[in-house]
Amino acid sequence: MPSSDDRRTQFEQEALPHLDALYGLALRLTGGDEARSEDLVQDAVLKAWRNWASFELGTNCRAWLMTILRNTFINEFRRDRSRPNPVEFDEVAERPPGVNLFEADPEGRIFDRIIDRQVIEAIQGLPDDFRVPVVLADVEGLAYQEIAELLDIPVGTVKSRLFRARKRLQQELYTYAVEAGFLR
Amino acid sequence: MSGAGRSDCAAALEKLYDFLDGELPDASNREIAGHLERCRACWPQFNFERVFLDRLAAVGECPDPCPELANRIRALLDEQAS
Repeated sequence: MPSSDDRRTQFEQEALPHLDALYGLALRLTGGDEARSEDLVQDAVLKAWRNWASFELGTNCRAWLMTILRNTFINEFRRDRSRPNPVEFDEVAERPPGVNLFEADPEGRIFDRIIDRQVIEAIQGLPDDFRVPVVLADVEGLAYQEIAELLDIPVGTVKSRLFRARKRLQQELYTYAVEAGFLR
Repeated sequence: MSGAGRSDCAAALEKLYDFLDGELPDASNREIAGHLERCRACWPQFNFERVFLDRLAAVGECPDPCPELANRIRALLDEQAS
């Protein structure tokens, strides 16, 4: 049995190198809320420390921590029943009709030119109910069913929110690409 | 393209994201993959969406530095130990 000092050192060596990745995920999930993201990372890391005995050394610590952070966030997200009803995109912003990134750039070349920060800002700018499924599906790679269970919504709702969120992101990136001069 | 072809396209496009997200059962998956090999109209759309989704996935590897966080967490771990 390792001493408590050894355990602490081991935990710091295994877990703390992933703080930046955890903070990144927290920012994506919270829509860029720095204070909330810091709290989330803290809560997740302390939870991980309390459960350190259950972590199998040699397995993927980053993935383990990311799952803890994700679950911590989802618990809060689901508990927060005071949130207003899902925002309808159509009500949020009227987009010019006919804006279509696929038509302007069918091979998707601009995706190589758009910087990470811009993609992240577009994701973080989505309303909660659309951003969270996109982060879980497209950034974290979860399946529809897992997302439906985590968020306690039907699979059909997951799919429709993903569809609308992705179209919205394409519009945002299109606007950015035009402004940056990548497209005319 | 024949009427049957167009309805194949409509069926394929309806399942575009399910296909790219790996959410389809094997049979539908093969059907769409086969359609995409034959259909010049659908392939570019699927390809575009795949490139787009790959771009979103790529930011998963993008960390955000938060220098003070490590110190704060070490202090909290110390508190828990005492």
